[in-house]
Amino acid sequence: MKAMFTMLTGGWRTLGLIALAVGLDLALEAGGRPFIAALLLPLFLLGGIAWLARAP
Amino acid sequence: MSDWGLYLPAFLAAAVEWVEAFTIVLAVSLSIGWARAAGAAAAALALLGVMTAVTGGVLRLGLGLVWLQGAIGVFLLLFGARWLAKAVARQAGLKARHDEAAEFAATRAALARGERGAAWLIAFKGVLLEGLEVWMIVVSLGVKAQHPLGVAAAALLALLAVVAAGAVLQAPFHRVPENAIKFVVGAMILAGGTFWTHEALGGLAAWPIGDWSLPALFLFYLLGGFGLAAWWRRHPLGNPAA
Repeated sequence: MKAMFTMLTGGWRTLGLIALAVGLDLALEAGGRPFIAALLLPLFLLGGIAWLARAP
Repeated sequence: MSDWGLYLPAFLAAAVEWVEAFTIVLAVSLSIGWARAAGAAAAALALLGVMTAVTGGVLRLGLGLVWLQGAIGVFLLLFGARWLAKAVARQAGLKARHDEAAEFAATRAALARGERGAAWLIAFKGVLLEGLEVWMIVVSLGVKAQHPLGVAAAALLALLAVVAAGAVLQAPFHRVPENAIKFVVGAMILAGGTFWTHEALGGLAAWPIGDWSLPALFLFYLLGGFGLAAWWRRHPLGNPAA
């Protein structure tokens, strides 16, 4: 089950990062800032990639 | 978006996973013979085929377009973020590159301690777990395609290519540029995931430059990933000011 969970989600770190990214996008969209969301989402994700790559 | 933009990442991602699965089956075949190892692989592939057909159909029928797009986007984000992070870490030297020969040796060593039934199970699980990633990609991209069978065919073509190359070489693949492929496919999939998730949440006008945002996102992630790896190569961890 653990192997299946990791295979499908990439693990808790990846899952948390994507949940935060979607939450950020959702909040900005709801606040009427879709273009800011369009700029921030890729930047946030690239920052998350840097964090994931350095994670043990 | 043309279906060819979906076939290419499906083919490349599947090829990388099939190479890993092939390495496991090859190691197992030396213990229990080609016929039994191939049987285990075929059983896992049959299960994956059924899963792909069922989940693809259910997703198409059971979800509204916006929900479907959001679900696909999140799936692709999960998958792409993991692949790109791994590729960056390996390119930067933070993690060891994937070594098919080492994996082959480790599987053989594990088999030397096991039994024939356990060897069959190792081949089955190996193909199933590697194939699950292919399933995720095929279902996610297939739902977006006008011809979803084409995406499944791309993954199947990758399998045939790997098996054909493996039959000729009869050895683990040493020279597959796995990290380069992971870099490109990770950036492609992450770009697709970003594009579809944001569009699902914000509507068709959510991207400032429309459909051109997709290639722009791909370039952003690809160059950003290379930039991170190059930075860490020049400034190793623990010595940020160097």
